[in-house]
Amino acid sequence: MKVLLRTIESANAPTVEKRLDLTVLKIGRGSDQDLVLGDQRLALAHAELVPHKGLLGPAIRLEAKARMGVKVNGTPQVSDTLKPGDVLDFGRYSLTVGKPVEGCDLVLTLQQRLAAHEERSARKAAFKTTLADTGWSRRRLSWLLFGLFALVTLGWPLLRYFQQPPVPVAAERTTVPSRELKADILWNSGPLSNAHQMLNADCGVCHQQPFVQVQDASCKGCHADLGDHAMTSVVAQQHPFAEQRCTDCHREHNGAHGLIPTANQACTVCHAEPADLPGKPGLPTKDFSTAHPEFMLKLTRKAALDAKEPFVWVEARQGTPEAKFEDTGLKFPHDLHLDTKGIDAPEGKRVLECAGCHTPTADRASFLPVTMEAHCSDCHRLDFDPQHPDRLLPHGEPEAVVQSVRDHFARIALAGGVMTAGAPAEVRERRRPGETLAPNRARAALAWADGEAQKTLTDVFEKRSCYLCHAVSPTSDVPRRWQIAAVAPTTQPAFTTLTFPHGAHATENCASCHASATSKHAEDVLLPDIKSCRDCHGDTGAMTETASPCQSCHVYHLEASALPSLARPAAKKAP
Amino acid sequence: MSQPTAHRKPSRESAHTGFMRHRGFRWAKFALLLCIACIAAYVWHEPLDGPSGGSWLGYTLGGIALALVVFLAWLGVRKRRYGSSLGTLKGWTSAHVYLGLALVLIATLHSGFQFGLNIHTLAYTLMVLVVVSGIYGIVVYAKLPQEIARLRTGSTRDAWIEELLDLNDEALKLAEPMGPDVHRKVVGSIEKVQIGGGLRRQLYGSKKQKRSLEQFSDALQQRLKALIDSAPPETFNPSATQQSTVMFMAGQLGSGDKSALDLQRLQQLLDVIGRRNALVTRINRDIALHARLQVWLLLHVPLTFALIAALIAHIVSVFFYW
Repeated sequence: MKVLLRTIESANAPTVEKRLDLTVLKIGRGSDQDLVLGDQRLALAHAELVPHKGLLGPAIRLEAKARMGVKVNGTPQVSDTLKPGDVLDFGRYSLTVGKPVEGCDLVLTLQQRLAAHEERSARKAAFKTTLADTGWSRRRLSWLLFGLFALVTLGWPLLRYFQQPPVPVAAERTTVPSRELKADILWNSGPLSNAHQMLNADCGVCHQQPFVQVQDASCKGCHADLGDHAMTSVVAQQHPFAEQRCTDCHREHNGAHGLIPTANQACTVCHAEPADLPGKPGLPTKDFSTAHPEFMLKLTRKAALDAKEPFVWVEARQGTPEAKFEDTGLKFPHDLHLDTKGIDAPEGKRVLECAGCHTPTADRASFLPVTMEAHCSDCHRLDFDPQHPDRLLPHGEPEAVVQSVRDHFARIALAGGVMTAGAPAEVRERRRPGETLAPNRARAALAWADGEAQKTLTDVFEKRSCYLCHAVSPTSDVPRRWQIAAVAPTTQPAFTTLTFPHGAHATENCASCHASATSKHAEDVLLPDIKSCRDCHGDTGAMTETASPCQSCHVYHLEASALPSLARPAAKKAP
Repeated sequence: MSQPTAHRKPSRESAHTGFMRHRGFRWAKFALLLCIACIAAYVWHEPLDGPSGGSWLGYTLGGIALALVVFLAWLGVRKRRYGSSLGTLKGWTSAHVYLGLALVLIATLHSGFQFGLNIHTLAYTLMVLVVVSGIYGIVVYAKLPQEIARLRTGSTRDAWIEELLDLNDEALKLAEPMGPDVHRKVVGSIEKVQIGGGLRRQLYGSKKQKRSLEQFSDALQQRLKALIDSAPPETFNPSATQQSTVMFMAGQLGSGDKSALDLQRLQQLLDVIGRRNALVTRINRDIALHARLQVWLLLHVPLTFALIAALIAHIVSVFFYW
């Protein structure tokens, strides 16, 4: 095997060429080697290059003699066929296989890559001893994360926003909002209230302009019909209403039920010191448990004699003498009716219950008016002639009563056959069909009838039926003759600013709030006072009472009909 | 590894822990006062819709938190400005630590404890991660410098590496006349020596190397002594001890009829290898300690940048959709 060995001692030194003719080229650190390399890491006999008759023609093979092998192009090999261009590592020396030239089987270039002392510093430099050497650059990592987070949390939603700017119109009821969430959902500062969940996909419905707070117009786009708190448009333009915005109280992104303020502060911010506020908003109210004023009641009073209406509505605060009675125009002792032993009824004793007369409204908040026909007439029958118990007086029309009684007795007197004791013969006689009384006899019968009617009417008006419940006074007015006192209307809720939700208190019995069992007069006001409420209700944050914010009784957005005002609809005209 | 007692209790005023006690805990007191003031305001404040970042106090706390984040992040700038006379770097570091801790509380109050799946809570989470990594940093700054000083005993890592390379050369020289097997083993062992490496290697070292170097080193020293002291041992199976250089040496020692010169050389070689192994362990320990002293910054700083990005998004978004 003929070998051409080129040796490059150093970068600038000329190449030294040497031709060898051997059977095998032995490489190592030992002095007996053909190619002696002075690197202590090499074995004495490190490797051999052997000619080889391969299948594809003659070739040179590398046979490593050291057990650690020889790196060929960086990979340790024990045995390998050499190709031109291969680089063999021998410590700090490298042996490059060149293209064969004329007369040589193998061309090798030997190069000392580093001098011994250089190699040492190179080895030292190759040690990665600090974090900076590991390639984990804080700076690179920082900017990478900065870019990534800025892109995802800011860039992406902004891009989507400007690609498809939201249409700044209020959601119309005819348009179902999109269900497709956009990237700006990442910006959602908290869950929307239940009713507004559908707006999650369209922030622009409320947030109509970037960097501008949500305006009332956004809210009123849907909630157009909400009542104002200010009673008049003049007041609405004054402080504090003028500068108030919907979002002052209604804070969105506070969870399923977070939109409706539950803190008393929503009200007390003004009502704690209402003196300098427009619209006379009542007494100072700092809280419910200690500072809430006594309830204001709406009560009926008899009007002056010359007034158009027989009753007027007055407001009276509980705790004052005025609030202890109201004029009803009726006689009604609750205690008698609610006697636990029962009260006389057509069938005997009957035990009455509140619900027997007080029928809840459909929303169970309040009660339907009590009427004679529905609630009283069962016991308070308006019959007047024991002989004809089915004949009843018409209720509510005194003139018709007079007429009715007179007609009745005239009819039975003329018809004859009346068995009443003391009745004249004309009346007692039975008539044959078609028989008529002679005029003088008829006059006698009618005289009797007039007398009976007079007796009965006096009885009915002054002692029995009417008199039982109504104040009756005689009048010179013929043919009416008796005046029934007007009955007060029941069209107004008892409390001035709220309707008590009876349905929500259905588990209580009536007597726990209403002292009806001991009430002897219809004039008694049986509404409970605030102390009864405080038995169970406390301020928000209370631990041993039902936490009751203002909103549990009061509403802010007053509807026109709920406005407390003394301008009442006309009381029912008394007959 | 020696542990001189002189280094066990470094002065409290040493450069490494001094920033905690800077100027009689000036910044600790300031941060504490700030926290108390914020808590008091939070308790006193009763916004209509419950505490949130959107009340006036929420905006105020958010503003304070933002100012703190900017100030805290500015430490990275300040520490590079060697010429700056705006406070000492130690003072800045002290403020950085205590105000960073205060930031967690203030940002929490700012949030009004409203958390959700959104970028606002993301920013909060990043802030917490940054502070937690910072707390780890305080712990290592308080502990590791003492350990490093104890380890180094006045020497330097560079000197150790020089010594290591010297010992490697010496081992090769000693191995040369001892036949190709010994030489090969020594070369192999030199190739296998790992100093530092990638992030994980620096922090935890090479477990394989640790085992072969640490476990066997002491045992083999003893074994060598035993071999020298006593006659060739009765049972010694060289084939079972091919795993490490030192075991192999011991095998050579035990395999009987060696001349006194060989024995002496072997003993020298063993000694050199043993010293080298101890040195490798010490250098890697030094590298690991330094890596632990620094590695938290690989989280702390990049997470800070992520936090700043998320914070910008947080601020822009809440006012974009005001």
